[in-house]
Amino acid sequence: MESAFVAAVLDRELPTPAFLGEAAAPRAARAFAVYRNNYRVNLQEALRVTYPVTAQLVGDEFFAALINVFVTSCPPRSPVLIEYGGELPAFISQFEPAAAVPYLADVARLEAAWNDAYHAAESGSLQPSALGGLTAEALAVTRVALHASLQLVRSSFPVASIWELHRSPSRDPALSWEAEDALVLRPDAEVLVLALKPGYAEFVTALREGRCIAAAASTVLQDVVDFDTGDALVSLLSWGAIAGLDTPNQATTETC
Amino acid sequence: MTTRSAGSTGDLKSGVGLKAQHYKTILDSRPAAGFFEVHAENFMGAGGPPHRYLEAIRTHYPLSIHGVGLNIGGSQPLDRLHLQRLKQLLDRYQPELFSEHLAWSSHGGTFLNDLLPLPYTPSTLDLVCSHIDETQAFLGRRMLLENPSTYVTFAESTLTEEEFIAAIARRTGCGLLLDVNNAYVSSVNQQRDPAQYLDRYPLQHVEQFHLAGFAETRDPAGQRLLIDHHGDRVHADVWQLYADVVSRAPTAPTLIEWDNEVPELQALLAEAHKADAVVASVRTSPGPVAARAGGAR
Repeated sequence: MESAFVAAVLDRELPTPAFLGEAAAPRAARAFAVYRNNYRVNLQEALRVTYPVTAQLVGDEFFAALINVFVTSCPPRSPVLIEYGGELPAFISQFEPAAAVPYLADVARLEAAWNDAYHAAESGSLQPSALGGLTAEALAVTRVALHASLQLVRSSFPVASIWELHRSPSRDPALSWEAEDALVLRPDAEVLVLALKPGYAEFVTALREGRCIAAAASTVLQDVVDFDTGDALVSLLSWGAIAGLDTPNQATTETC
Repeated sequence: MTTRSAGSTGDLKSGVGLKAQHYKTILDSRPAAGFFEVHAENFMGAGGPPHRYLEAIRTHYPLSIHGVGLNIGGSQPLDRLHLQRLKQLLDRYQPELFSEHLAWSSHGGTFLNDLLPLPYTPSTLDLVCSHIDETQAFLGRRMLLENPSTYVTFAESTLTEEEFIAAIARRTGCGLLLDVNNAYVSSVNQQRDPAQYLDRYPLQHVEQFHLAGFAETRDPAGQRLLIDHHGDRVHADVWQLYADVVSRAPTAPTLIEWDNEVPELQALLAEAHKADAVVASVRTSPGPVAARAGGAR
């Protein structure tokens, strides 16, 4: 019974299941349509909560149609819907009708990152004073543990600015149409979305790969000649993006 | 509001669903509310603001945790991972009330995010009872089972919903959450008399009430088809049915469910206070059962 019921909910072209008790066929069809509608509308609502700006950018009708197609290829696998829909950004990037809004998939990636950070496990951050006791030599070989909720969203569109404008419509709508890297993290109660200066995303990526600070900085400096490693570290610390520093006991001669 | 004692629901006034948009207002203004209810699955993330707010609110109010995804009415084995998540949540928050649904919501690895109906037969009864036994044993506590809103029935059903639910309560020892709106919606949809449904319902096992709003449509023959949408005030007919049964479950607290088009907190609480007024008027009136709860109200 359940398989046939589910199949008929998912595929509206299928006839109303024959095992229903309603004697009148038009009544049965109308009543069963409630389940077909609930399934789609409930998931549209759930994803509208996770992807509010994405929904705003395309409007209610388009978003509902998008989700109806999305759920056919990616139905929820778990009752924990706050974790559902992580595949939506990738789906949007392949969804032909959304091609007219080329930054839509990136905004959705930002919102997926926001949702992950919002529900991430609690985890502490270092204060900027953590750099205080370190010599320049020690700092150079230090490895950095980033905050567990931290995520990077790199975009060829001003993704953080677009998102911010829709979250706070009162803000000055002047935005320069340039590529943006966004850092998403929740060091404490609030999720932060920060548009990064040039080089920061590469720096964070290198640190996340386990490179020491000097090695990470030199990677960045190949492309961003005026990158200021000290400023970047202080900024990351002040945002709460760094959870720990691992400085070897003795200056090591190994490359890092 | 600091006098809550875990495990006791005997004198709880009516409560409302806890919505994210009301978190701050509740903590800032500490309104009079009997308790708050949350959907378990919304608090199954690892951390973050939902848990921070729930922790804070829970220190001031009694709590009900209401699961919507356990698939108790499903034919497949219960999802142990989901049971584990539920246990963790219940252990952490120690709610006064915990409930789930007489419904199924998952099949073949797909979660449909809806409360789907099942046939009422001796074999589905066995299955549901075994799922409830398993749930209660795993969680180490009793649960309350909620009657569903249904839009269709099954030709193979041989038991009425009231008989089915009464047998579950008798066999598993679980308590019941009587959703009066669901009883009304299902009865109207099955073209039965809701008062008769409630007359036959095992009210002695009811330990919580739900009240909510519904939407009304018509089928092609012009007959009413009601949809349980939790997006409006409680209907006058449902208030009347509630007043008729509430004194027969004298210690069961009542929850107002309003999950869509959620109003301001004050409007939501006004519905809960209305339920308190109904309780006060019927539980103080003379009667062998009502007399017990009358004085406290």
